[in-house]
Amino acid sequence: MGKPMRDATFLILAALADQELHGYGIIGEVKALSGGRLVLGPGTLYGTLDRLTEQSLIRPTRTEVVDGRLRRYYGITSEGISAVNSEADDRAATLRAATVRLKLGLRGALA
Amino acid sequence: MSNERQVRTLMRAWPRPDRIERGDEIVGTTLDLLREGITHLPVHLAVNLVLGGLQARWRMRPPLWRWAWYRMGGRLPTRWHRWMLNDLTSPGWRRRMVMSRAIAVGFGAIIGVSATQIVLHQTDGFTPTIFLVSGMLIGGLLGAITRSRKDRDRQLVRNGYHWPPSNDPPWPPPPAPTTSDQQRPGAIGRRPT
Repeated sequence: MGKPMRDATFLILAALADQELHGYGIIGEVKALSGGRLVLGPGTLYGTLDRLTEQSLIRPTRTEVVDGRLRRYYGITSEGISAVNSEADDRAATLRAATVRLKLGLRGALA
Repeated sequence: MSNERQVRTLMRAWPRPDRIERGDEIVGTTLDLLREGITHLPVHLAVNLVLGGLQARWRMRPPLWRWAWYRMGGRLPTRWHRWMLNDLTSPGWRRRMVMSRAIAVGFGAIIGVSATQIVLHQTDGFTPTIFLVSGMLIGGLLGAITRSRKDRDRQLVRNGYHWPPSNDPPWPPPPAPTTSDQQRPGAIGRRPT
């Protein structure tokens, strides 16, 4: 098991799992995926995108200009898909373990 | 000041290559985040943008020992070539080169003079030492200033780059990590291996 991903990294990869998105689109998707708990700022977003590009987990795909603003789209790579799958499995396992503990604790409190 | 100007001013926290290659993209995304009618950039966005830029600068730089090696004329691994190209070709390259040489010469002079004093058992009178260190510093600085262009060119060639950039058919662009979708016109080409 590797080092756990930060929430921002995991959610950005998850946001890109099924579609190519530009910076603003990624921020919106991450906000939706996290239920509004995580709103990325531009500094955090582009720092994370840089790191993920260096690690070949995502790649820039195309650029377009909308309303005079440059938009670069990013897509996930096969390495990125593997990484996000593995992280999702780890998080699910942690959640299952925590849920079992909570149920045991609840039973103990009720008994 | 318009929002765009505010954002572009804050973008100065980002490394120059990032500003050139993706400044418009970052500015565009930041402006997209602003609701209509907002005349001032919210503080949290401004802070986030500046911190992101400082982190990008930090990530781009080689570690201290690699930096010291590079300043002494050594080669840098490809990972830091983007920083190196910026260091050697952006405005202020001569000042950076001369300052780093001055520091190196200063350290060298202090170590050399101290060693001489120890070897000669000379413990009294610092006047000759001060003269020696000053002389070496001034000589080193003058040398660094007069040779700076040649040193810069040599450093680029040593790391595998053409300099000055030619109009030959472009070589594959340097494997700069995050950035380039395309090579900018006039950018430095990699030498063939």
